[in-house]
Amino acid sequence: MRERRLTIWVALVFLLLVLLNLPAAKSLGIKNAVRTAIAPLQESVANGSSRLREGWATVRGLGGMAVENQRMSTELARLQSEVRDLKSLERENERLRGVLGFSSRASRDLIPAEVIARSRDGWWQTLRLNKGSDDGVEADQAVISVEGLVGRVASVSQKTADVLLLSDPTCNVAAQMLRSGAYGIVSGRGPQWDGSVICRMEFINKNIPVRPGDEVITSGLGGIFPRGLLIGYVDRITTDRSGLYQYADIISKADLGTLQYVFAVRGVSANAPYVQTLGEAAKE
Amino acid sequence: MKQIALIFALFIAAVVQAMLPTTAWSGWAPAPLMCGLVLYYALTRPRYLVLEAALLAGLIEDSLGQMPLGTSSFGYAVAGLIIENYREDVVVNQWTTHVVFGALVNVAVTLFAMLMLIKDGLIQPPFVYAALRLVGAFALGGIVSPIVFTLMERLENALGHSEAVED
Repeated sequence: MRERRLTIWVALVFLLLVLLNLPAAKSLGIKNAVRTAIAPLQESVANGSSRLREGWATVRGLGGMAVENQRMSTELARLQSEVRDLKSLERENERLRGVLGFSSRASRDLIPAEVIARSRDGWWQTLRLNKGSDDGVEADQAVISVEGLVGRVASVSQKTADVLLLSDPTCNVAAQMLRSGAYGIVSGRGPQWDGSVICRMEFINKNIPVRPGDEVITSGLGGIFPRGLLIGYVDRITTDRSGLYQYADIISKADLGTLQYVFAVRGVSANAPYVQTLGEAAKE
Repeated sequence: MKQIALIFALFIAAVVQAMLPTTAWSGWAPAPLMCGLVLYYALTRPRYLVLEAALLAGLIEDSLGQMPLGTSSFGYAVAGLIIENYREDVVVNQWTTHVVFGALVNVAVTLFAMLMLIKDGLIQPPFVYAALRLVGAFALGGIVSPIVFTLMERLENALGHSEAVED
């Protein structure tokens, strides 16, 4: 009896040691197989809960629909006028780029995806999407929402993709202030006590004035994130302890806690600017 | 049939665990449904099923998160086998047993995973956060385990294999 028990323990320890020391590729293969197996269940539960939420929101919002409709009509008119202005600016920009001999801007291919799960382990800030390598999603692609940058694809299985959010301390983004042109690196600050999402832009030149409310976009210098994606706004500016740099707390434009639909940005070089509209991608 | 029930319960627990919200006061520790399941098998089922539950629960949990594969399986397997070894000495069907064991197992597994991740340089949690996380894991383990235990008993009753402690 004692020998049998010992055998079980030895076998268990051996099995677990093998599992713990699997090569990265094999380990990822097993993880992807489990993720693919669970994805349909996760997707149907996510769809069900989203329908429930939408149904409840519809019931609650019935009274305010006329006001909401009025507000949206006004917003639509404003946006249509903005699009007209932007189109003329784009044409002018293209013409000037042609005159100066710059290459034409590449349009960007967006893969629409739905969020089916959020990481709840607290160590990492991740999302799971219902699109994977079968749909063209690849590791290290930028992920955006209608509002702005969300993060980057950390790992992909055939049917799902895990996105490392902007709020994760290991997600670093080469960034630039839109107004002043100052460069820096934006990284997440992890979960905050009040549930808010704060990132920090570091290594900003101390001689460049930065103001609260300044827009921060991706600079395209890091090689992963294309240039020109909106990250968020400056909340607070502090001088680095060494006095060589300043850093700024950034409030993310995208509400990372409530994301439902996002887009993976497919196959363009990081320096190509963002051109395809989200509306066009949504139509796909 | 018991294996099917186990896999079904693990899949449901994994999906629900991933959906339940986490809070700041618990250091963003997740509701430990998988841990509750392993505890249920450790207190009521034969050793081979305890090991199966522990390995599968860990495998699914690690696969769905960013944890290195095998970390949770190791923690669950050791905790499950220790409890299975001493279950003759406790009142298995008492809710206080589930509360105490649930809290202890969850905090032990969380501490083990945390130490492994720190050792591998994958996380560097501030002390306050790590302490809060452990307190949260202890509290949530105590709260969630009796609920999982009750649900599992009902599931197994419905499936017709609800015998008490098996050997």
